[in-house]
Amino acid sequence: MKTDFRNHLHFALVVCLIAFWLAAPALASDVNDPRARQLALAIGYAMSGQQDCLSAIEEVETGAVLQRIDEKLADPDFYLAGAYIHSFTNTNAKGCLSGLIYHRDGLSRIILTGFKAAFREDARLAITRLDLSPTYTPTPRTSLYFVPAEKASADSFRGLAFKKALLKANRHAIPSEGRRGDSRPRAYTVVAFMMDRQPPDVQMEIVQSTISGSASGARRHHGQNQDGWCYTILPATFAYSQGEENFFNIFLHVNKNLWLANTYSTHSLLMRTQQALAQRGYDPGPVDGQMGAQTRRAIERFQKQQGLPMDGQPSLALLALLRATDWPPAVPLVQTSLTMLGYDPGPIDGQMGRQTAGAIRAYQNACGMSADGKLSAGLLCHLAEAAGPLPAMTGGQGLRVKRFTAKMWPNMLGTP
Amino acid sequence: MITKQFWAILTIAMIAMLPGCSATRQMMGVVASPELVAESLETMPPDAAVVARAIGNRLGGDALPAAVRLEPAVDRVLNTYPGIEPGFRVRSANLCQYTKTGTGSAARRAAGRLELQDGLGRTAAVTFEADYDTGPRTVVKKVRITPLFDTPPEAICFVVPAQAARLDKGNLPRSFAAFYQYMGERALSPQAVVPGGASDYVMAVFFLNRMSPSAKASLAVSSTPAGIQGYAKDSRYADYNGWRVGLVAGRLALKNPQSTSSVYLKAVYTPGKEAGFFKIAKLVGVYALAQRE
Repeated sequence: MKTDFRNHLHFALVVCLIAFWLAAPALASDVNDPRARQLALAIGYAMSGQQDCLSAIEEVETGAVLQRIDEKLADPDFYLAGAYIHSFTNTNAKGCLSGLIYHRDGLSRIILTGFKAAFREDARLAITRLDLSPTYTPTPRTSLYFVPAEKASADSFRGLAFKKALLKANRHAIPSEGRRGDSRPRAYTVVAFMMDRQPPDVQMEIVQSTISGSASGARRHHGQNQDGWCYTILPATFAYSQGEENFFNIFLHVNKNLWLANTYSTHSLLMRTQQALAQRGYDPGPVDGQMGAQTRRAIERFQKQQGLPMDGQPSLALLALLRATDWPPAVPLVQTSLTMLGYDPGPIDGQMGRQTAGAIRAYQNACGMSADGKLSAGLLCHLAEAAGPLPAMTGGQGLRVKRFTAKMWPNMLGTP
Repeated sequence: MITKQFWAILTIAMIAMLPGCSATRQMMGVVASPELVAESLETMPPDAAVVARAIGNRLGGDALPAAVRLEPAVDRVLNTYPGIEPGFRVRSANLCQYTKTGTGSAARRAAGRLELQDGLGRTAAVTFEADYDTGPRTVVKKVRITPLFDTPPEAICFVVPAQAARLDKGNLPRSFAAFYQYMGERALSPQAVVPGGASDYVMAVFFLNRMSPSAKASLAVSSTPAGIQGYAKDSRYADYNGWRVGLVAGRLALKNPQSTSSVYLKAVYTPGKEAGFFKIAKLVGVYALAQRE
């Protein structure tokens, strides 16, 4: 019985300690304190060996603790890219802080490091203790390259260090846009990279599939993890921007879970846009991934029908809209709104005919707008407002309010 | 051992927070996020824009765009949604999902974020997910609304002579708007303050963004503008459906030229449980009350 009580007491004590330990930094911290930023920057600079920058922080003493951590980032190409302070406390000229530091290199790779430091404050701030631990983002960025096999075979990548492999792939890869499609299938070396450092036990896998995001595919390859930097190579034969669309889906194996990190198509965005335009009768010319006058006009035609700004350029949003559109929904919306407002756009058939244009012109005239009889996003918004009139701005139902702007005391932080 | 545990918990908290969380994205700066289909109502596919607008209008108690009809269940959800009061209008919207659903050519799903604002400048944010059919008239068949508390609030401060602000304890105005009007009407304009001796004042800070029930808004009076610390014992707070008001009373010599030390009122916001482990108190307002000339 006594032992039980002791066990319970111990358990309660441990729970209280953990709760206090978790809550204390958040309760007492002041992450906005400029000293926190100076200390975090000093740690970051010391980690990446940026001595000039470190010595420029006059408020922080470059004592033994900071000098000893030079070797924490083995690669000298990484520089301090930013810091995030989690907690900062300071009482009686002593304190501690914790947070995250991120370093970036010229290849856009990123290393996240968590830190916890104790410091004392005399004439300057001096770090007295420092704990660093690698931290990882669960949504790492990826890069994928299609390298013609005759320029660099899959074997030529094997055993290469991450950085060399990235530079090699970058040098030999075909451009992702603006390139004419292959006339017939050819051999490629597909090389994918994780651009954020991963835990050492994470495995990367690339799967070739005809379905975007699918983890099942006959052709797959596990990559290598070099001290947290992962890349994978898959020899594949396909016709770039031609024929059947193939996808390269990149996964992370974290413990026993599989996470989709990204998916890449063998067709360029422009080609996918051309395909969608052609399927919907917009006549973009040859579906070849090349931007010509006919493709531009087809995109503009679609944008016009949708009431979008006409720039003739492909985009992911445009493609999403195209893929979801079997007939232009903007025209019937306008026709319905005009009918409800007493105009006569003719039958609500989704066709932009002479009668609909006439009704738009009449509406534009009545509203003092430029009467061009054309569909636009502005017209849609105007119609939406007109057909569903909105009451004046109020602070509550039927309550007229004043903001008293002149009486607001100035906020020294500006608008957050 | 403790350090390892600490970072393990921190990492788990980050994993839980990161996907699609814009607040976290601002903090981290480097983390990839889902690609937005459109960043504003103007750049959305028109049918999605009209649906987003219809949802926003209905949440704020306004009429629908003519070409949109809501299924009765959808109308009920939007009309009874407790997070938005009548008078709010769509200020901004984005779209992060836009897909065709089912086998029919007209069925769509749109999902994104809506930010609404009222005449006082109060804001509230929600995520929406709507299934609808396009056609001569767009019919919204299903909708899901989730409150979002991802933005630190904007705070505005009124300074009212204590004799003009007769606020009985437990008898504060019944609505945020009424409270705002009451204090706004009686407030001193900072430009009109005549330096002189000390008097009693009531400082009211109105937090304009809707906060999570677990978030905290607090006031502190301090002699320095930096940090979140300060004297906070006599402050009082009111919560109007997520919009908070903080009150603190004190004797001050506003803009006293002889005063060598300034008095600062600080408005502090601590995110709620939605912020996961990162419940870090943040300064959202600093007001120099006894300013140096």
